[in-house]
Amino acid sequence: MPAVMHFLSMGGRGQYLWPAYGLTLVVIVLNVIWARTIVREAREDLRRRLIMETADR
Amino acid sequence: MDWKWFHRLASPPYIYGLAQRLVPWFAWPAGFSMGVALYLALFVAPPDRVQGEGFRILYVHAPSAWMSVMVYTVMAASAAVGLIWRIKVAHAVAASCAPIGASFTAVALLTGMLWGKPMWGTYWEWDPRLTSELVLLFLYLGYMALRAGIEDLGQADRASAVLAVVGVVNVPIIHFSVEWWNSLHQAPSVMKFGKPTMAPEMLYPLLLMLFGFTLYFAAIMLMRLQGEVLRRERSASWLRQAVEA
Repeated sequence: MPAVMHFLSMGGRGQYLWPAYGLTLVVIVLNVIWARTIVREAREDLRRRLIMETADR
Repeated sequence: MDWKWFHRLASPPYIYGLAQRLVPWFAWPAGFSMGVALYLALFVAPPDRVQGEGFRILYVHAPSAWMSVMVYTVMAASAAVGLIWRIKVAHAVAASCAPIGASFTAVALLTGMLWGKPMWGTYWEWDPRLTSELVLLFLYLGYMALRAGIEDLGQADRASAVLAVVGVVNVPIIHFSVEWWNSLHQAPSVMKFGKPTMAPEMLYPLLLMLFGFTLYFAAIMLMRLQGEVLRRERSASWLRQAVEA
């Protein structure tokens, strides 16, 4: 346990270091989710349009 | 010279399929490099002689800062290609870059602030490096706002591309700001001519992280690009196959 605490304290800089790592990780993950959502929505949007076009004919 | 490859790159169906196939080839190596680099950064790299353990912020700050200028350069270059050769796919690439670049510019600024507080005693200073990086964030946001504000896609492409190309002058300003003016920010340790001024066991995790972030950018950009291409080619017949596949 002391070893873990020592690691987390990062020589007294933990309060700056961990938020920096956490923020970076969050943005990395958010960019993945964001990009996936965009592709999915573009596909669904297109599918709806194609169905409507087919129905019009 | 055979220009067939160039024409093929300008074709939306080809690009859509290519982007779809390429994503895993960038995404998996990106995840692997970033994971290994994270381990090396936190557990293997020795503490800095001056900054102690606190210097490890470097391993998220420098890659984010690298992303901010690298992505902008890619964005401006594809915007220029789109303007000059009137290639829609190039505009789609530029549009896909902007949100990625903007988010990592924000990360570079914020992680820099978190590093600045213990090292310089302040979160923010109107320093040349910090200010020019903030201008970069506004360039990204301006580019995105301009695109969002113009209804006609062709017009949005051209107007935003001009902004992106003009704004590229900020990239060398960011890079050389620490040399041209008195700056709180340290001079580059890696991105410079000659030997990097860093111990190898500190340097290699950083290089691996930079490599991983670059692959990650390629994967995310190619994902967004698929969405951009689908959104643009609304009535083209190949889309039917793309959706049904």
